[in-house]
Amino acid sequence: MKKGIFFLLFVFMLALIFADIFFSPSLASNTKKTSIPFLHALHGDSIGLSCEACHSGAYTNREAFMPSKSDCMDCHRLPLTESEGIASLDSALKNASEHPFQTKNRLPAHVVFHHGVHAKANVSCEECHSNELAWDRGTPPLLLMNECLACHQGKRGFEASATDCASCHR
Amino acid sequence: MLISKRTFIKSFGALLGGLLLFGCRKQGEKSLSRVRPVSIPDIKKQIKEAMKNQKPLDSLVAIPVPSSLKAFPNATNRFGMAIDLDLCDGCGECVLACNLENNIPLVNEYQASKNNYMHWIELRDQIPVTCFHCGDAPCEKVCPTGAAVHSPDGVSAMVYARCAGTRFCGVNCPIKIRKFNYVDALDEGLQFISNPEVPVREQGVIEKCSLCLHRIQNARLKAKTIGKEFLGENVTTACAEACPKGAILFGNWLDPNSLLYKKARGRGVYTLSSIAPFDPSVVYFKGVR
Ligand code: HEC
Ligand code: HEC
Ligand code: HEC
Ligand code: HEC
Ligand code: HEC
Repeated sequence: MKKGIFFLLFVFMLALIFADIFFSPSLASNTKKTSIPFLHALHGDSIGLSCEACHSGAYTNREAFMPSKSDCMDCHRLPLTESEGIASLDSALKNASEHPFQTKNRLPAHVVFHHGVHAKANVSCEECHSNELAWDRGTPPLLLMNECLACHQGKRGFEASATDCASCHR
Repeated sequence: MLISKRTFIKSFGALLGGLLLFGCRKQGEKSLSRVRPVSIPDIKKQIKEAMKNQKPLDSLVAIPVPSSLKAFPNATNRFGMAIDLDLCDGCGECVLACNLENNIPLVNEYQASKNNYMHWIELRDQIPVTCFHCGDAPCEKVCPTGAAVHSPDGVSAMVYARCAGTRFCGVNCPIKIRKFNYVDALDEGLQFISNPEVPVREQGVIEKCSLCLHRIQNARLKAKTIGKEFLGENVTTACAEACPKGAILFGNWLDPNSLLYKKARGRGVYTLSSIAPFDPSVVYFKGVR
């Protein structure tokens, strides 16, 4: 009899866990929605492009911002290479809206984050955004309070900075 | 047979029960289409009601001009405000500005009948009273979750995400200026969202004047981005901005170039008698010293 009750409890807990996994909206999901092909690897240092050319706020603003169609058109108005990729890019760009690249806010509204201060303090994009492949896929950056705090406490080789709640929360 | 029919039915029932319970959880997004949107006249109406029903005020006592915080003796900033009682005529414009700036919800009729308005600034005997951002705040000492905290630059801040709604802080505040969200304002259609910079507080948390913390943060982030030291220049609070008499001053008590610091010279500095032992950052100016 006792065993039965434990079994019931176990099943109940299991149900709760599965329900949470399957039915709750997830914070850290990818954002990739558009059909326009894009690879950061082709648009980095090799052609002398800084992140700011497309993510115009990355060094100065709270948000980094996503490029608009006209940002691509600056270079891709004329076919740049003979490759098939360019042809499919051109047709995708033709059908795209003015702002084809979207992202969503992943940090909760009560958290203060600012790209500008981190750029000014020489924290490179890779410290939080891993690598180029992740950028293409729209993999979420480092987002957890513990991870922010670890660096702010000086555990990641940067000068210690704000750890009081009112610097990051409002 | 691995399990009996009885166990199977029981576990299946439990499984369904579990799923059902989860379905009943409170979810973040709600559809608000059916409720009448709050308008500015609604807000003005509640401010008028609150002003008709003013709570009594403690007596004023003279205190020294605020200086460095005991907890942060090396800080360069201590933000605060002064309300000039020689200029203030109790018009209530500051309350409206504060409501719009901070997305302060209306209350329902029941709470209104108990005089439980959410307004962060109240008029008491025609004098604006808000959180005094005590340097030695009694509210912060009793918070069991660490949601009520003091920032190094003198703001008595709330981490709303951490607040569990015990209301100890509200009880320990000598002037009871902390406001508890009894109702779900979004759900009841009482929420007016006019400022995307300030997140809306949930039902079940205490809220209060933040000294327009979002403005301070934004200005500090901007200053840091261009590599400037931040002493609170070019920041002001919504109430100070809105006061038609210019009676409210925001500034930095530790910066000799701050308007607040300069204007305090020669003025009588007062606070409420119940607040006087706690080293307030928000004070009243009255007469000359
Ligand atoms: C030529 C324009 C361009 C340049 C230069 C560029 N990016 Fe991007 N970036 C994009 C586009 C377009 C996307 C969206 C990709 C997609 O959704 O397919 C993106 C997405 C990202 C994302 C994912 C954002 C999200 O939330 O989904 C990160 C992170 C990112 N880029 C970082 C960088 C960094 C770091 C640099 C500089 C080293 C950089 N980017 C340079 C165009 C650019
Ligand atoms: C500074 C100019 C510049 C900008 C801006 C730019 N690109 Fe490019 N792009 C290039 C160059 C140069 C190449 C060719 C690189 C190579 O093949 O080595 C290229 C290649 C590509 C390719 C690969 C095509 C193939 O060969 O398969 C795609 C896809 C692409 N770009 C998409 C975009 C999108 C989308 C944007 C807007 C977010 C954009 N680019 C903005 C210069 C630019
Ligand atoms: C200290 C960590 C950190 C650093 C350094 C950082 N980012 Fe971010 N980045 C984030 C976080 C966190 C978000 C998510 C913000 C949100 O969703 O509210 C983000 C979001 C983004 C996005 C999504 C769009 C947007 O407007 O937010 C892009 C693009 C981006 N970062 C690019 C960059 C680039 C380029 C750099 C380097 C110049 C950089 N980031 C440096 C943490 C960082
Ligand atoms: C890799 C290190 C690193 C990570 C990770 C990091 N930060 Fe920072 N952060 C810094 C540095 C360095 C500064 C600059 C401090 C200064 O200039 O005083 C800073 C400054 C800030 C400031 C301004 C502090 C102030 O004094 O006003 C805020 C807000 C902030 N970070 C929020 C965040 C948040 C939120 C996250 C997590 C999503 C985060 N940071 C992750 C290194 C980091
Ligand atoms: C360096 C920036 C930073 C500082 C300092 C900071 N936080 Fe956070 N906090 C975050 C970020 C980013 C998140 C959102 C991600 C998460 O939930 O971990 C967060 C989330 C939270 C949450 C919500 C967690 C949840 O599950 O919803 C609470 C509560 C919280 N913080 C409390 C605090 C308290 C209390 C302090 C002061 C002791 C503090 N934080 C200081 C960055 C910070």
